[in-house]
Amino acid sequence: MILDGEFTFRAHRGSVWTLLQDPDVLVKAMPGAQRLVATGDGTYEGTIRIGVGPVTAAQWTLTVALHDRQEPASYGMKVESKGPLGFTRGSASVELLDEPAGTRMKYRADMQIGGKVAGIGQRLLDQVARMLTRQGLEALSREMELRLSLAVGSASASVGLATAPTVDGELVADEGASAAAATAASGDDAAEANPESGDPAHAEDDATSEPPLAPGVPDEPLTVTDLDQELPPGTI
Amino acid sequence: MSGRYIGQSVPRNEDRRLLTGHALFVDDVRLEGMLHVAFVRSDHAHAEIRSIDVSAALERPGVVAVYVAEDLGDYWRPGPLLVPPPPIEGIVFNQATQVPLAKGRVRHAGEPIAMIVAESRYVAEDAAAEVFVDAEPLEAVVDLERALLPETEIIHPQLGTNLAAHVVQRHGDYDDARTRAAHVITRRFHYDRGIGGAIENRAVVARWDGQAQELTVWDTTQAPIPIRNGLAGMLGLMQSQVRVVAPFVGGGFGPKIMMFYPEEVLVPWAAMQLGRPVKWCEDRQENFYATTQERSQIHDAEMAVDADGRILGVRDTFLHDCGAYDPYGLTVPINSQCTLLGPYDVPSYEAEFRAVFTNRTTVTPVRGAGRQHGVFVMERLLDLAAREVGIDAAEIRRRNYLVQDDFPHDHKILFQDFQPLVYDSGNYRPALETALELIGWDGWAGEKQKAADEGRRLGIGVVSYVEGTGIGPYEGARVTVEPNGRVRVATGLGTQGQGHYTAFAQIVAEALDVDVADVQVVTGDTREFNWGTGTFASRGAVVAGSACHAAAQKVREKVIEVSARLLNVPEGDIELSDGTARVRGEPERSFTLGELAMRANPLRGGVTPGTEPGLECTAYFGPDRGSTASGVHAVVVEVDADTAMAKFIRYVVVHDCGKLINPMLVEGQVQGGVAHGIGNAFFEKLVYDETGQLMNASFADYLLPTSLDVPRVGMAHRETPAPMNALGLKGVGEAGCIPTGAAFAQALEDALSDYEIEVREIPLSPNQLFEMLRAAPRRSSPALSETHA
Amino acid sequence: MPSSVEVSTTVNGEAFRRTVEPRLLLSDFIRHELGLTGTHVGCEHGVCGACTVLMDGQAVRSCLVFAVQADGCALETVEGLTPGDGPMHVLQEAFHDAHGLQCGFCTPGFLMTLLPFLAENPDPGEDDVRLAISGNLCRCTGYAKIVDAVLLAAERMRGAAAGDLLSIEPDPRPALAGEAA
Repeated sequence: MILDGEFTFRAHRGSVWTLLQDPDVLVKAMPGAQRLVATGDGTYEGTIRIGVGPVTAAQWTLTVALHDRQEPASYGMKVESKGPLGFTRGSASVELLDEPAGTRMKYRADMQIGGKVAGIGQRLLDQVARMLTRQGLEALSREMELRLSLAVGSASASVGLATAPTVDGELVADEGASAAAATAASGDDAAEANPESGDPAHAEDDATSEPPLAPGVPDEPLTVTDLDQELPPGTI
Repeated sequence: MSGRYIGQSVPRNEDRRLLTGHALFVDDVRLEGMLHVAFVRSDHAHAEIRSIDVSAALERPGVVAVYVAEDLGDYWRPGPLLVPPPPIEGIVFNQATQVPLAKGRVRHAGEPIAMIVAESRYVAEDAAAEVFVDAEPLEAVVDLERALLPETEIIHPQLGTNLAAHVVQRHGDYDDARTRAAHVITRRFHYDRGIGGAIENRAVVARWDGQAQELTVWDTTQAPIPIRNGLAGMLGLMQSQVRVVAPFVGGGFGPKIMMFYPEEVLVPWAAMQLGRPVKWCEDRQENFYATTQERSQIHDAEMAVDADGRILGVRDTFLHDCGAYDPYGLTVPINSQCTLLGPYDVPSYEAEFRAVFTNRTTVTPVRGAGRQHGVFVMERLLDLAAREVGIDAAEIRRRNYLVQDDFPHDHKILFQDFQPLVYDSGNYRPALETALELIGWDGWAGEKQKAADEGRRLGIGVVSYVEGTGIGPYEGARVTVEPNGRVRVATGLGTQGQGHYTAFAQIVAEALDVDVADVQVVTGDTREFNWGTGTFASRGAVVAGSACHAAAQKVREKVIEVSARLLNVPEGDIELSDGTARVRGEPERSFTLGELAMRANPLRGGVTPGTEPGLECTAYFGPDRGSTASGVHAVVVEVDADTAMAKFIRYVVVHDCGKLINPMLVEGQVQGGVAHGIGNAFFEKLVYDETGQLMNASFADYLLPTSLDVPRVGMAHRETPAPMNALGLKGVGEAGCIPTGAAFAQALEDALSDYEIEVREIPLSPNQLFEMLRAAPRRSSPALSETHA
Repeated sequence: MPSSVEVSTTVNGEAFRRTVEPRLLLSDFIRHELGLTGTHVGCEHGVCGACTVLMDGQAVRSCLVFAVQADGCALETVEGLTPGDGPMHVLQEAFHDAHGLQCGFCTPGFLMTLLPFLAENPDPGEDDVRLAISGNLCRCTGYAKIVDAVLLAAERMRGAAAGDLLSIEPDPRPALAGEAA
């Protein structure tokens, strides 16, 4: 299965690069991820809990190894996961390009899926993979914006992209290949598109929500929602 | 012969048990203290196993044992080669049979790696999920052509090649035929995989009785006796210490003739190891990976015809997919090679195939067993040739049929039973004419046009086939008249719904003139009868039926002999009717069969030396070679060119399986076979990705035809008796599904005659047909009917 | 989730009370807890229909229902159609006469699917019958003789008083899931 697409982060390449190498960030961005720790330079190990269609949610082990790292422009990635329902293995390439609006990320992953999940989840896999990818990238973007806002708040403008244009709170996403997934995820978009960042109900509901934004944050509204999985495991 | 019972549509003796829910299937066996098995199966199609961690599984409460290959010790060994390669000159055959549990390497997704035995199936499955298999994937060999390239990964390193077999058979001089031909048709044809699709999955239950030193195994097999013999050998037991029971079996369709499945080897062994009964039932998903499949072949074929469309010769070179192992030898590709010739006079034939190993589930016969591939190639070539010559599909067949004077006809190549491919008898053209009449061939142009005026696309197709059936080596039967006057028949076959309980009862009833309902047939239990081979190659009724007939005839002779002695008349004066032996002309002087059975088994007094007690006889039947059934299928198909959905509107089968024992049962076999064939043609296809992963391993994604997809088949029977057996029988079990793909292809092309398409691939699907239509150029002046010129 | 739950049902009129795991499928409950093995399992994912039983009069796939969902329900299985050695139910008899079964594995599911159908459709046409059984897979028969059997049964039922022949009245309630308390 080929997964490819583009996504624009409103941040400098260097910041995006750092973000993408941080397991603490990745674990929040990856739908269903429960744990991810760095085991070496560019290698990570963790667990993820996920189910597809008729396949019940189950725990999968995950290993990620980065290679050919050309900071901050590109890297390759080998991903392997195993669970009682099968396995996935694959390689991905990620390219980061400077753009006026931020950093455009181009990604292409070639994933092989095997075992039960391949045999009975097939009709759903492609859609699900795209949906998960989108969810992950949006979560990353939110994390980026959060960092940006915190960085701006602490006057460290070099981290963020101070001149980033306002895009009406919408994430700048180019999901040419993921039209179906975009539709599927539109419910989330609607919830997040204009989330009145100070909404008390929302903050209260969210046990893991970050502290309120520091004063003086530019380019309101920035998205600060829970970066953890919003969906309970197995509800994909 | 046809008579009072044979040839009648007698309702089945076995129905009541099945209809009321009291028939015993293997999964219904419940034993005190029974343990349950789940298997850990490979997620990978091809991989080296680095390690297997079973510790978590072993710790789970309720788990009794976990076995991996190393735990089997000397019991671990590759399975037997079931069918050795036929004695064909120059044949290459590389043997690699399946193993009980993968050791070192896995060769197809779903291959068993570890066996969990637990107090319940639920616990066993929980534990199976906790076994951690560390495997290093290897390149998966999926593509048949790629399998033979030098750089491709070798599946069985000890062989040094992925070639499983290479066979060349020929008669006549094809090269010469080609030079004389007015037209030479050359095409490539694909046939792809499907499943047997029995609604009952496989199951094995085993109980070791330490006190009696006896092993009892309930198995969904089509061949209980060879299973018993093989298990005895593997387990170091006398054959008489092992009883294998194939009770009611919920459909066979070929895959249940395969032996030995790993589960069949492991479950009895575990029962002996653990001293408790052990049960394994396959679930549907396992079935998609672990039960054998069939049908992937790629043919490069060529037909040379003269200006009148008469066949001068055929050349066919094909690749056959064995899957991961080749325990069933070359039965399937040899069937393809032989059945291609069909009912036609083919003066020269050059046939070559290479069988290759791939990282997919092992291939063994599935209903049709290679025959439909050959028929598809031949019938498609004929359709294309007819187009070149300018005659219609019926006419080109008419011109090429073997005629009555040609029998027996020797094709001068070897068949799957290692005997020369000789057709015993047949009469093909009348079957064609009947089929054409029933389908409405003559008025077709008008019907098609009328439909077209209503915006409907119809297409017609007519094809022929032969089926080698009823092959040896032999079957046996024991017929016993009980003192209550009822008759018991025991044979060794497994039975899977064909109606053997009734068909055999009819044969015996005919010989003894008793009511069919009074003849009780037992089959599939080695304690009842322990000589024989099994149910395959459409042979049950022919071979075991003939044995039943022979045994019943011997009992009849004995009845006459005993009654003549007791009534003190010459044997010629005795007549049998309604379960009674009477003196001709003096009906009051008589004995019932029950009385005779009693008197033939005295408790005191002398008996005539050299006689045997009771009214019981055993007989065997082994034909020199099989008998050739044949038939014609004609179809009308409606296609929606926008949605690419096709529907069978009419289906006609005219078939000849020799003498009919029970027309109702034959009709059932044909109708059911056609349904399987329709599935094969348009609905059922196992889709593997390039890494050997099966992508549609459920009935939600792999579609069996439903009641909305299968039309009522119009049938006509022709009876050309087989000279090979006393009753003139030929087999019918597989016939219905053999030519369906070819008929469908022809009809599709007719329905879509304004598109430039050729159907060279089966199974099709709405998706595939849609793609074909999208890619096909439209003809500028659509021919009304290509097939039907 | 509790590790075991009590289930009380009546099956073919007989009351049963069992303590089972919450995850136990109704099909396994019927077959292995109660020993009523006439209900067969063909796919475990609700496609083949072999495991169809009646739950409060409605045909359900027992492989898609948990045993606990049947708590308080009346179940009917194929064993309930013909008590003891008596004559078979008219539908069973019609399957016998019309050769509507071969291996017989899928047959109980067809019978249980058809009972409520025939109760609601005493005079079905062939197309109605085909639609009614389109969720039950049969590999042996090619369906034609099953259709014949159903039409024959319907005809015979109309000849008699349908109420006498159908022991199971259709349940008018629309839904089953979650009803069991």
